[in-house]
Amino acid sequence: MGDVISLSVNIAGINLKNPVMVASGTFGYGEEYVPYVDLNIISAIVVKGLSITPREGNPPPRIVETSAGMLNSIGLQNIGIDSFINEKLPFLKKYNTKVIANFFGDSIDEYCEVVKRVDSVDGIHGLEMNISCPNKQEGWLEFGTNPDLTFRVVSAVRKHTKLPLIVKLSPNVTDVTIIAKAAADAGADAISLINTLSGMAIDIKTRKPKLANIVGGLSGPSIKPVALRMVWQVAKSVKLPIIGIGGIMTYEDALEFMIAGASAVQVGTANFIDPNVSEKIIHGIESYCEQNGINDINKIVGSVII
Amino acid sequence: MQVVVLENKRVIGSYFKMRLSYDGVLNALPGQFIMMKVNNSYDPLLSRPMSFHRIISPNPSLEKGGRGKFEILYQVVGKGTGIMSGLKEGDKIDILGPLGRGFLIPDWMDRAIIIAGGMGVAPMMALTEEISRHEVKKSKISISVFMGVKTKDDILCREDFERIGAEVYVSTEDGSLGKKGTCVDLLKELMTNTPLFSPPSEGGGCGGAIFACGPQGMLKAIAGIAMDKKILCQVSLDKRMACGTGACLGCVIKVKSQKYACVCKEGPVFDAGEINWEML
Repeated sequence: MGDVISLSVNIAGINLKNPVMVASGTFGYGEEYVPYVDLNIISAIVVKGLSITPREGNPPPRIVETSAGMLNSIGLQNIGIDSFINEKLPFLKKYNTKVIANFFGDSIDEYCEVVKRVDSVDGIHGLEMNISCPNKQEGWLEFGTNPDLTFRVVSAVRKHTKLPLIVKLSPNVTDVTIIAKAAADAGADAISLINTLSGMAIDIKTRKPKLANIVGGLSGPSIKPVALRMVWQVAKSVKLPIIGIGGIMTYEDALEFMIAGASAVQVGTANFIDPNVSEKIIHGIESYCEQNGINDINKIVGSVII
Repeated sequence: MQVVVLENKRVIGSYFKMRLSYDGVLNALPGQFIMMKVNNSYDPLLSRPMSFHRIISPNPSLEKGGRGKFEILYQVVGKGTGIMSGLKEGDKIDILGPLGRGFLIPDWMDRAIIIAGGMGVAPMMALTEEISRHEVKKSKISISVFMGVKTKDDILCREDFERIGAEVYVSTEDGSLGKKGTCVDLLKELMTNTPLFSPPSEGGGCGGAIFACGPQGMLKAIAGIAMDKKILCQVSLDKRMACGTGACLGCVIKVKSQKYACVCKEGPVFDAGEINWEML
């Protein structure tokens, strides 16, 4: 007793005071939650996905609740990288939390353009690359569903940045480890997974899809077992640090991901239901360590007994 | 924050009213809402947006140990509201709020036309109570409430509005009570009999304003009439929401600038002129 428990983790050179980050698209640009949350408690905020120019997003309806989950088809609505740097980042810099810029593009060039803008910007501690976007120039295939495309886009981005580069994987693939290896070979510093699972819902009265975009991304506790399995598979296949994402609602969920091999986690949909959920998860992890004689959270990473 | 159920009872049919109390200060405005987590399970997962039906100040005052209260009015339409209807006195519920932008009461208003279609009546009680506490040039503001429902059993809170001193006019789609038609017909009738106008932005004077909540088609029709006659009109929209704070971008509508606006944060109350009605 009395021992200080270390919750800090290091992901690709980003020192985090605890392993709990908030996931892109679920926490806006941080300021949306300031009335409800002390941002200083959260180790890192992964901001809403940014593109080189602002995006309008998809027409509504954009969300639908499902059993223990939700589908969304926001369509990557965002203010664009320049507005983020000029209007949102100065505010975020006031807090003792790391800022990770999630970004995407329609082409390899667009990905690279975003990275060139942020690379020398003070206050951005890392990049998270969303590769679940279609490649407009080459047959609309999603970058993250093809190992060759993944390798090419990650290699190209790598050349333009020295910032820690996290690649966020799509779960909508046959074998996620092949994509993870392609990202690792291309120079990624860390892997985060999973993005949302592709899904659909239909109104039986009107026989119309419940989302205007017809299909959307499933998130929430219903996807956690799938996410956990994929984190475990990827952790065995690549030597990079892993960030586990997918339906984390409680500290027990977060610990499962870490035991499976994740060095850190991101809390997503749970923020919508309880903006203070990250704080509760951090405290829960700390109590678990205390009760189980663990003085350093890193000792639990990948400790699954098979 | 956590709130406590004081009372939860059926009003009529599938309509329920819940009274809740809270610690501290809420500072809610008519037209604002809360996100309510109806239970601790993952199904339903999301919180439900509920507008303030009544906002009740602590009596005795907060300093003397009183607690603030508010009411919500809801219809049981699915799983979430079904669970809500089963909540009992003393049950504790997690809420987030007050959220969003509420109604603005113009200081020149001497006549308020409050239009409620169906469940759109929910926030209009809080608004009517607030307006009834205002005065313009030392006299009370005249309040007319137009209620449009499907059939007479859907009429809610009529006596409550009348008790505050509002004149209530009812329309039913089946003609079972009041005017056969919708509350848009009630507004049209008013406009032909007694012209309503808002004062020009420069020049002063008193005038009337419209406040509306209900189905989108009804709001669009009312907004059209109001904008045509240059009457100030505020509408409250009801959209499916996940976060209630402007983070998830799930509840958007098109506004005049051609951009998407979050109903939860930039609304739910909008000036009729802000909304791109063609794209709704």
